[in-house]
Amino acid sequence: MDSNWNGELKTGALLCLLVAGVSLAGLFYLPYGYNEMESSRRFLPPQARHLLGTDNFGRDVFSRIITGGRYTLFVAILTVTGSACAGSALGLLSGYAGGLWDEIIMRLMDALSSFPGILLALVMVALLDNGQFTLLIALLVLFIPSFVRIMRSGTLQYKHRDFILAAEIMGASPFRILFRHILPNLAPSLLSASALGLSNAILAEAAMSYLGLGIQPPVPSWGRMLSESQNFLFNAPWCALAPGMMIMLTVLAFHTLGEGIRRRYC
Amino acid sequence: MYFIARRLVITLLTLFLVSVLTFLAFNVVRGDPASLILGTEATEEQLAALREEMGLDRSLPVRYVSWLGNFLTGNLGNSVRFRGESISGLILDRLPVTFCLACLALVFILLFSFPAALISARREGGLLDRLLCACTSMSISFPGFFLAVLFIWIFGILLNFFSPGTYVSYRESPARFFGGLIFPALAVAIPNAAIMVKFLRTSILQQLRFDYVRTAYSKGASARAALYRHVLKNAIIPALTLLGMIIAEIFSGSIIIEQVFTIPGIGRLLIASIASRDYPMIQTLVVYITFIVVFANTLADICIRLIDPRIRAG
Repeated sequence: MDSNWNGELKTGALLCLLVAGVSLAGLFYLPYGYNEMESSRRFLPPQARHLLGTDNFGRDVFSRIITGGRYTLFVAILTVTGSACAGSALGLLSGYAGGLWDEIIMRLMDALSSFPGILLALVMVALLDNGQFTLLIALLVLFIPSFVRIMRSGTLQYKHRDFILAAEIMGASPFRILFRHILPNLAPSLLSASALGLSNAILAEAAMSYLGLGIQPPVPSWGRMLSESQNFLFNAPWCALAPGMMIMLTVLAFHTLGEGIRRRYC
Repeated sequence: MYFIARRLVITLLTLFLVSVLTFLAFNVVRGDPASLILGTEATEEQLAALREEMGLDRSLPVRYVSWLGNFLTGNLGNSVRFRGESISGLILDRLPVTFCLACLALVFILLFSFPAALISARREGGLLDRLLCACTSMSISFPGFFLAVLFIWIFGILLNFFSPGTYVSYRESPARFFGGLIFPALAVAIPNAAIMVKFLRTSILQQLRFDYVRTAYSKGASARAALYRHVLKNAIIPALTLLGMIIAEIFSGSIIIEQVFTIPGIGRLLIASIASRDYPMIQTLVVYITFIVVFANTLADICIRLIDPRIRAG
């Protein structure tokens, strides 16, 4: 089991590059506009001119998948970056300061993570209007606790080591110790947690979009494509299979990458 | 005993924080609840009347305490969306459905994960093990709602095992009610079962390397006896912690899966309430679901203590 970490890392990285590459390629070339409707081409099965067929409005599923992927990745990367920054800062503080700060932060994180994931995101969307930033904020808050926990336990591991003591004796400020001495040591954990976070963010975004509370039309999103395709599952199953498989592939890619990094470096 | 008391205190603290956070979110972050309910066209008099009816003219801590009291006694007033129906009545009507779905999913998770993990661990590195590992990796990444759509397509539309969109109430026919829940429960269970298999397999393999396994073999125990009588007992303990977390995932999952299969449980009630901005209902449902999850986690933690004498002593 431990012998295939390298394979896992490579497979994950390759899949991620593939997904990201295809999504970004959509910026430069798309076979059809993602909202280009053509009533004479409704429900065409996959074929040479429409690789993944067309939907109920005659829109090219392949073009919509690629565009949707770009937005999904954008949302996922933005939220995970945000929660990694906020979570790391809180985790470092909590681990290094200890005492009351630690207690307050960790109890809050416990409370936050005792809400079932999707429920928290749904509440945020209900509270803040269903706008562009709501989804970002909702997912950002959702992933903070996991980063806080990882960074806190990492900080606790290092805080009594000799090199930290040496830095303290040399008069380094807590800020410098945290960011120059402890954080670099935790970089691999942070990287692996971020990759796993990305896979969770993509899954959560797809679920929210499926429920109609995520990325809003006219921008295509995989989750919404899947929920819309349910109305014509009998006529055009490809409309459901394409976005579903893409969600799975993307989640698998980032999950494998995260696991690979964790086994290789942590 | 000390541990259980300590754990219960932490649970109560968490429940308190959860209820405060939710209360604040719905009463402070979002602004005046009365204007939320009545919308922008309401007159001053209407607003004042509703505020008094809802007790919004009192201070925040007083309102929190009275809300908590009402929550615990189940006297929560009426839903905004379904006028004239009480919130607790609506929830109690739908709770059994979600509860059955969650239980069925839990049964499936246990039914799949233990045999799969045991088979996989016994033949470590073998063909079957690798096949199972590949399957679990795939299943972990499989979004439950995509799985549900696939089930509807394959078993509902192509094979005609069930007709999508029909739902039989448990009052009408319990047998058909549970029959209708099988595929939704599978869709909730499979991604979680995969996590469980992966975790349990690692846990069993770790235990197999301990000296006590060699001792068991040298005393003449068969591979099967060593695995079931000695290893499994130890491997189950960390898996129980995971099971506590999986219960939260089951509820998360069933919120979406109910939507896919149009099952009238609390998940669908929640989504409908969000769509119609029924804030008192959303607030109650959120606290309700979270309380269930926190209780499940506490129960799992206490069970581990009771099962494992080493931890019980320490």
